[in-house]
Amino acid sequence: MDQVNVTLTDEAKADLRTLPSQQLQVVALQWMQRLKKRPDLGAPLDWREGQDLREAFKLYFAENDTPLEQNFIAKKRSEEGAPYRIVYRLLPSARKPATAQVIAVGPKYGPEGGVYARAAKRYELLIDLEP
Amino acid sequence: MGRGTNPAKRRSHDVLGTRELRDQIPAILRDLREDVDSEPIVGGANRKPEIVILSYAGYLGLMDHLDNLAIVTQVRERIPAADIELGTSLEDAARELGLDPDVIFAEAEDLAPHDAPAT
Repeated sequence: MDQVNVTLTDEAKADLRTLPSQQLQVVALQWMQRLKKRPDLGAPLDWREGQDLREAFKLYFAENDTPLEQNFIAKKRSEEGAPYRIVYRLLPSARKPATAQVIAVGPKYGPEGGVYARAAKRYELLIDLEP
Repeated sequence: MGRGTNPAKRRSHDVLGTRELRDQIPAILRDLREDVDSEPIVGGANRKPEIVILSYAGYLGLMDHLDNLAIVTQVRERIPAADIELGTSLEDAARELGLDPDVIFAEAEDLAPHDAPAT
């Protein structure tokens, strides 16, 4: 698979800034770096918050992850085991991606509905704004 | 003529004549009541398409959709093209956070595609 570009929307960048520690920011960015060579690394999403997110993917991450270590193997986690998520989509298509666009980053649960609620709202707007 | 407004480019519907419409009104109402998203009914004299019957909920949804399209058009006109592109590169995003991409991504240099999704 060819290497893809990884980009972040302004909202996703704002999400990064609100992560509770710089270590979490670094880990999130490193997971995104992994996407360059493995855009299919995330698990496919489904419907969330009434929005069709089937074209989007999620990556779980936690503060102690070291995703760029040569021998790092992502362990299977329980729902509560990895509190943070990266939500992204592949453009122009998941089958032949050129870009992984990060839409939202943050905890699964939050005061404003968590990462999926934010991703759902943004995803809808992104689709509407596309030419 | 705007995109999508040419009737010739739309899919054709079965057109009910006025007598069929009159006879089928109860059944049409029942169908629309049971499934508000069911296909609209097209009818008219001599089977010429003159009217469309759809559920009230479907009509409201259609109006909402048209309103949204109008809003999107206005937003597009106001947002510079660059703002609706794909966003900031990973490296620039790192720099904006005060992080050095050469340092935080250093271990990725010889990274081979490997592990399974983090599920």
